[in-house]
Amino acid sequence: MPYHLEQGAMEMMKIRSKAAVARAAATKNDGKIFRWSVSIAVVTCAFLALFVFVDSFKPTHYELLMEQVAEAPVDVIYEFAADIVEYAEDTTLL
Amino acid sequence: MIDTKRAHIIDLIRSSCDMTRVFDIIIEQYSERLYWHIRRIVVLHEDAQDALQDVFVAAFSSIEQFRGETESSLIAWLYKIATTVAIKVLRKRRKHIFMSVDALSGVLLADFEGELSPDADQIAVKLHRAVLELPVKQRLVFNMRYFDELPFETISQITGQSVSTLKTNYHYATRKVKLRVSELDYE
Repeated sequence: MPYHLEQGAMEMMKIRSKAAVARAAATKNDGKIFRWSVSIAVVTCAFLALFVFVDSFKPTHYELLMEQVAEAPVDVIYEFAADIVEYAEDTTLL
Repeated sequence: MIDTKRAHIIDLIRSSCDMTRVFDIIIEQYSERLYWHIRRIVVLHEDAQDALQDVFVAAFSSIEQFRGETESSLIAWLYKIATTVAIKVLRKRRKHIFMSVDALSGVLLADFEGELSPDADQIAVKLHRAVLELPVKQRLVFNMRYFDELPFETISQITGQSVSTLKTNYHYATRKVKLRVSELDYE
């Protein structure tokens, strides 16, 4: 072979390659753990987003109250309003 | 401790949990021939050294994908990775992305002059100069057939080309090399 190669260079290359493979082996599992962590995080985020999306269709407390008020007889509403005024006076809001 | 004399390398790959130790054996056995295969493609020692390391790391990372049953299939697999890595090194040396790898032969010849051993045989120098002037496809086939003495079937597995195409490429490469060597004799 006409190429120049210093004595012992081949042995050095073998040592370098073995060290590189050992490093790759050490980080191979790190990579797996990282990929698993990212996968779990992505799935969790997806579930949270789905939950928030579905939850946004649920009526709020105010809407539920308004529904009840709309269906309630007038005297009940008056009674409810009187209760609120009384509560406000008691708690010195008025 | 793995007894390499008794155990077949493929059996070790299939059975061993300690793949790092198996790779120590693979590195010991195949480093030299893979190094010279890469060096004949990239010419520079530093590039070949880095590429060799990358080959073993790439092989280690994808050992699960190796489906071969024989040692020759392991050699073909390692050669395939080595060839891909070496071609990547050549691609990095191009001045722009549209430049062909074949256009690098001038650069490789200049590098070759600087990489010559002081006691290099002049006939071998002429032969290598002639080979470096070949297009990459022909050079790969010529290197693997002439220097590494690999069968065309194995070269076919490595390059993904049909045996007949490889034989044609080798035939043209041999003719060009013979012609170029005789020209260099007169220069």
